[in-house]
Amino acid sequence: MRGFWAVLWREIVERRLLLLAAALVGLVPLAVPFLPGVTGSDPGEIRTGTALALCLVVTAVLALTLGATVIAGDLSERRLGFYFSRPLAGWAIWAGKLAGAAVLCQGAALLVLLPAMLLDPRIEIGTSWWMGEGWIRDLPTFLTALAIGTVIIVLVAHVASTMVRSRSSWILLDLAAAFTVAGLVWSERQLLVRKEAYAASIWGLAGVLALLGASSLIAGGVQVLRGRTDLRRGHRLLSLTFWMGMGLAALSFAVYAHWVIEVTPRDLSRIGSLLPPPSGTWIGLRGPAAGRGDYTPSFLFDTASGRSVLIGSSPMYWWWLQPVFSPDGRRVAWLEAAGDGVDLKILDLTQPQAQPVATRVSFSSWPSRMALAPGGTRLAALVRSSLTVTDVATGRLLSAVPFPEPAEEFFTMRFTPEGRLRIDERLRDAASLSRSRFTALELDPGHGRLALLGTIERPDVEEWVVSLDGERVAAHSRSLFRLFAVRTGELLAELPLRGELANISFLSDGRILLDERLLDERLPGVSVLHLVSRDGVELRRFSFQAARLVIGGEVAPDRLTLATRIQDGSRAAQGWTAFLLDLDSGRTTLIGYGLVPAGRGTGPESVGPRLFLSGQRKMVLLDLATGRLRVLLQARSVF
Amino acid sequence: MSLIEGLIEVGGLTVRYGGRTALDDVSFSVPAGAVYALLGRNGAGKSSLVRCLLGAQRPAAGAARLLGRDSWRERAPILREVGVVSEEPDAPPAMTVRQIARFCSRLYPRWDAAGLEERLRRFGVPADVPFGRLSKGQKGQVALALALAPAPRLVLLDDPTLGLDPLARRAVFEELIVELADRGTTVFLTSHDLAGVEGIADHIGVLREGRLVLNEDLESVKQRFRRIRFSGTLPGLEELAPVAVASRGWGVEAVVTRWDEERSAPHGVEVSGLTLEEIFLAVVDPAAGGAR
Amino acid sequence: MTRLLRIEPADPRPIWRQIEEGVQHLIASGALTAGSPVPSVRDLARELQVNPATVSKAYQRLTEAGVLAVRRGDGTYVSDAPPILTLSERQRKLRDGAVRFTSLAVTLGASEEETAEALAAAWRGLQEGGEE
Repeated sequence: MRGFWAVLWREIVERRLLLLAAALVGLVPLAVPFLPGVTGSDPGEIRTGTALALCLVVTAVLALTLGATVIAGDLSERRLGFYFSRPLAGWAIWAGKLAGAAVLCQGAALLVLLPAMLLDPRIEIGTSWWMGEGWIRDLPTFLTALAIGTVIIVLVAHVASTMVRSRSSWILLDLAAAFTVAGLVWSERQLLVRKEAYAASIWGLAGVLALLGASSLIAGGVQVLRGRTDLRRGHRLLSLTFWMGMGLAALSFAVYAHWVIEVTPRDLSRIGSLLPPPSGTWIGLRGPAAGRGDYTPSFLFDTASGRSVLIGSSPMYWWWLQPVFSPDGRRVAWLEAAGDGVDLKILDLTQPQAQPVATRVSFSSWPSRMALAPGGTRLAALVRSSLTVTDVATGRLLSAVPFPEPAEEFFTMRFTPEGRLRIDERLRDAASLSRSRFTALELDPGHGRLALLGTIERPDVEEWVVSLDGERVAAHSRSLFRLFAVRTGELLAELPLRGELANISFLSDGRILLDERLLDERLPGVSVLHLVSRDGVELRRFSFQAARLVIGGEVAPDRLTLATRIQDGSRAAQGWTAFLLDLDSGRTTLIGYGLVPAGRGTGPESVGPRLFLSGQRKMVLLDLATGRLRVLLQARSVF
Repeated sequence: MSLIEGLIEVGGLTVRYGGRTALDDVSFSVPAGAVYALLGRNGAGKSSLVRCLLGAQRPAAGAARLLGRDSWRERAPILREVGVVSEEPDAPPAMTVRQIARFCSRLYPRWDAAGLEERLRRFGVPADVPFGRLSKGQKGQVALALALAPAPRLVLLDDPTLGLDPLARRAVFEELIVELADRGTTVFLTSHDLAGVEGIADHIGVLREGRLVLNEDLESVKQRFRRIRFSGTLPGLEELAPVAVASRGWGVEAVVTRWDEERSAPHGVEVSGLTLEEIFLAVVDPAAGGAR
Repeated sequence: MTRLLRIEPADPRPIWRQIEEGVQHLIASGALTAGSPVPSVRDLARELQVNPATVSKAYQRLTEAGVLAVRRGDGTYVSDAPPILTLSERQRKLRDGAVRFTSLAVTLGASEEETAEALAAAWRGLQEGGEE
């Protein structure tokens, strides 16, 4: 150990002038606030910001030069023999010189920061972009990250310097290996970024960086211990060791990237969003994957067989965009990022073992809305202020109509069974926020014209709910239910309520359910479910002791799933009770506790109404015949 | 042949750089207390051999052992007992002599600081001048003083007088002689200064193109090498193993290597001894060495 | 004394023998008188630029032969009394020397008279204490 300390001390003493220079540089931030042209913020912040920036620059430059000279310089100038003809162990020479370089860099860093720190004792980092906001929190973290960074830079500079200075043709192999490794790492990183697994890409790169440091450290050690004063041989040994390490790093990164990406629904840590189909047993599923950072994959999941297909995810903020089912439930389609655009893929849900098929449909940027025609024959998409309809089989554009991007409103788009595109828009009047307008449009792809079906405008409408056949629309105001005919705008029915109207839903046969909340101080909370006829006449009502009520869907004609919660408040799974409501008899059958219907607004043809979520971690399926619940999916805790 | 392992034992040492063979199956032994001089032309392999002894070069075959240990595998422990003077002075140029001494003193089990000061004073080398600014001669002297300071059992010198003027050369040899007288340190050196070597070496080895063509104690070498002159023919010349035979105007001149001291010179033959330099020349280049 | 003693590199005799015989010559010629000090091994080695072991060997032989005497703590001196050789030893040594000398003379092609004259001159030289 004595040799190690002797070499370390020697390295520092020999370069003590660098420390003096660093101390002088540390005085610069004190002068910066007084420079002409420097205005604005607090001089303390300017000083600190300058000191930090200078610290980074000085340390990086120092690390590069020291790394390149500390061993490789001595070697190429035949001065390493001085150490090797003394009783100094090889590792002591390597470690001593390395540690000397590292200590010098850190010392210089502290000297550069010192004057600013003395003037402004609390150096606040992470308070503004200028000072590393978002990724550095405080001074100790900054200095630790700096220390690690300088060691890695010193090591890599040494490796590069050795390769260059040995002046042998071996460097061509080094360059080839460098391109291969860098290419592999980059392509894997791109894979992760394409799938929006940003956190994983950073962790992976951090791992590669750590292995870069480790490989350099070991390679340098091997070079010094076995290559000794022979520059060429040392280079060869260094290269072999280093590239073995980096090859391992690249392969590990590739394995990691593929582990991150290739997930099944069983790897989800949470069920983020669930999309029930219009009919059939397949559902869309999306959620964060356990242990994979911010990677949020999307799946198609067959609730009957348990088979899952990993599909492309839309950008985070458009999580509702995909997948899109055809109205008959026979096909489902989604977009996958490819190159600088998106391509459409489609899956035939009628074939049990079908695989996703690439289509010829592609867009240069993500559409904001999509709809799939029955049988998956056509795709409608709103992309870049243009409403397009494309033939899926051939990729041919059938029609494109200019359409302003919807903003500040809710807009749905779906194909009718006849193959026409129905668009329902709700617009809030910008001038007077209380006025709300509903507009129904239809596009016939054959003619390429957008036809207005009808428009209705009323004050105080919070929500417009369209019937399943599209002919009637319900206006949802705070305590008032109104039913209009879409095409004529005629008011068909009107129902004032005592309490607050919480929800309106249409049943498959055209009847309407109204969810009324009676929040009286005297009563703990009562929800009343009104069953209303097609024409708006109240047929009967059901009362529940519940502050909140969620309507699921129809598992069978006249049989509805719903869940109630006695108290409002937190969204925890506890407190909810799910049960079946027979609309005919009014009888309720308990399904289970802590469950909320997952498939809302879907009819008996779909598996939707039979799905329930327990919190966000468990999905269960109700077997109508036995009344038993089967766990389909249990989210994983992060290991 | 000694049954006790010498302080230096080299067996079958072979060194290759790429396609070139620098040392080919070299073997010799240096007993304790001896002074071994390794001679050879430039490029004959002397530096490669010294690097092997110092554990800086891994041999392709064979091994070098110092103080009973393998020089490649146990380099650092061996060097605690060995003083080294390299061919080129390689101390960091920015360090002063005093700083170098302080650095080295931490590495060895014994360090004679007083003796070092004494030597530097004797050499007239200033202790507080950066090493890089010393003259070549002073650098060599400092290197020697540093090599002797740890009271080593063995001193390895790779051409310690290279580029030195006669006074500096003499100073180096004198210092070695004093060291030998005081402590009987084993010395291994390579040199081109054959006159200087002649006085202090008791064993010599001659490398020619990587092979050790001569490995013997100096005394017996000098006993059996003779320059003879005769006219006409000399029967029995072959028995004397001549290496350089040259015809001159007046007769024949030859360097013979198997002269027998006991036998008297044949009639009409003029016999004279050879300096080490002349012996060396005859061994490495008989064509050139024969002529005077 | 060191000024008087020289080592000839070209001399085929080993260095220690040159020193041994040189010292003996100096004593015989009177340049070194009985009881006078001789340089230490180290000093002589330094002066002659030879391995001290070599000087040591010569001194050892001279000491064994009784030519030099070592006084503990004091140094090495020429011994007070010349070494006593038996008659037969002296005669053998004289004869050896004579054989060598005459062989040399014959090789050089000298006549007996020349040889005898050279011998006489050398004897005179020693008597007068001069150098050869």
